[in-house]
Amino acid sequence: MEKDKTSIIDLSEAKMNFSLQVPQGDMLKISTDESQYIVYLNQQLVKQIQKAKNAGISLYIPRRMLIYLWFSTCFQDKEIQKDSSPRLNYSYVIFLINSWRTLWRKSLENKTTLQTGLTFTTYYTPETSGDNYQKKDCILQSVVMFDGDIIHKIKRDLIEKNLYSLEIITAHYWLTEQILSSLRNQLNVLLWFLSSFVGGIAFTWYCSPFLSSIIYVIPIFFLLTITLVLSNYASAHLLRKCGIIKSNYVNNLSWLITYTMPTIPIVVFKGIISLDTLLPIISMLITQILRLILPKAGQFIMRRFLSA
Amino acid sequence: MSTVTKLKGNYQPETPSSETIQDHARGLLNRFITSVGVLVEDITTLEVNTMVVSNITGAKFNAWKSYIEIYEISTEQYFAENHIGEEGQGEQDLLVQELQKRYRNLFAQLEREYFSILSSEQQSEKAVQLNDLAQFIKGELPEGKNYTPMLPSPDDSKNFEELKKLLTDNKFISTLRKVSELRAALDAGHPESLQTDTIYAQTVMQLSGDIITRYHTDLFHLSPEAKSLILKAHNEGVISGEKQWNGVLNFMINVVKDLASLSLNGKR
Repeated sequence: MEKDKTSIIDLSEAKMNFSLQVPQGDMLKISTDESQYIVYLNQQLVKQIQKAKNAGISLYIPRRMLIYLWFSTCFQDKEIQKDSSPRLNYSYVIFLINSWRTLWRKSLENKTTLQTGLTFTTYYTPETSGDNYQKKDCILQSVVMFDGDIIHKIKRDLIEKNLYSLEIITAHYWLTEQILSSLRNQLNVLLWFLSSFVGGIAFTWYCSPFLSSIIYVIPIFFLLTITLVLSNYASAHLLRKCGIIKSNYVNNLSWLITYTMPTIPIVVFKGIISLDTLLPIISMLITQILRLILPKAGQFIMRRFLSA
Repeated sequence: MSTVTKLKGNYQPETPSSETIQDHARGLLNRFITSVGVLVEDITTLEVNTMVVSNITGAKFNAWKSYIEIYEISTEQYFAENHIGEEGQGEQDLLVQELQKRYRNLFAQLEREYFSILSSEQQSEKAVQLNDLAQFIKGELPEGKNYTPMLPSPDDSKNFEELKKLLTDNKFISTLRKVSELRAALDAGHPESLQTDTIYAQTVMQLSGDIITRYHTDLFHLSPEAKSLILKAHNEGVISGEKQWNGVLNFMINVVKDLASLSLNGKR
């Protein structure tokens, strides 16, 4: 399965369009708008989804899309302005700047409320080509509330006229399921994203005596960008292409990267390798060592107690 | 000790000075767990509704707009202004009245939610202001003209602060969203006609293991193909909804378990 990284960012409404690869099939267009997910299907896509579903293959959602989705799921008010530049690095940096600005503003104004639910809407036309989906093609909608209520709406036309109704409905449910489960299961991605903020803050705090107040904003974002990109690269590419690193070590690797990235410049600036700078690495090593030792130690102690 | 707002269990503070920081931390952790608990309070029930609609709008949910729309139901002129059920007036007066009653019940549902929020915040002086408490709790909105709604009116500028606070309460917004979906179903695009979008099937699954499925009688008046399609769609929806629910429950349980193990001084 190929990862897809194309994304078109719309300035006016903070709406985002993504193209996802249906396993062994065509590209599926999804547009998101705050808590609304709109999927555009046609007959061919429905058949391919049916095949993928029967084969048990899950939909792959690229990491970048996940971060965007997480972000739009968590916040209700959208005040994010996005740049229309399609280049990977720049849109990451700008997204970071905007998300930081939004978080800061929201926490000050106490407006950080979670969404109450998500809406999945499906448009369908029988023809394969074309982008001309009209309002009447909107045939399915599922409102999934986080407190456990789900409302599925089916348009009357679908019941009365169409031959492929059941397949379309099944495809819609499958897509909903895939998106929701990947939002839930790939929490690691969100954690890496958030942890890079912490690394950036620590870094600027250390560097603030050295730099004047205007300049130090820029290193944060370069650091964050580099950390993110490196983490993604290390985990995604190394894991997939070389097969060297097993999946349970990917997490540790990315945490290591996130911790060491701030410390390297600090060592360069201050010229001393003090306990401060090595603390993250030391703590990580200690965690690993403890994880190995503690069960054995625990067993040893228990045996002593029970035999005594 | 006053910094700790809510302690669960039989925890007794021993010495004021040495335990203060620990209590503070414990209090914070408890508050966090409680807020996570509030967030998933209703997660003990999964409800899946399958309905057939005549029109699906792509409109986003807007809390203020929905609140104003639902609040208007309590005004006397609502049914006349929006020509609710006008097409049926004359021959099917009873059905028109039924329809109007259903609208009013939606408003009553929202008021009940507001009432429970108020009583949980112990602002009982406001709750007592209600004239007809018995009827309110029974779930019927009094039809008389002198009924003053308990919900704050959006037209009044003094209610602004309270409304803002209310519309950031997640539980209230969930109920508001559900009520506005049901109202849209009653409207069904043409408020004048008596036709409404019907929920044909509803399944409620509870954590205790009870599964209740309800079907609308109109389902059995449909053609066999349509009936079997709706039933199959509902079953699929229930299956996928149950998977989601299961996943969320596991996720929450793991989060709380990890937090709990942290609060026990790191013992695992």
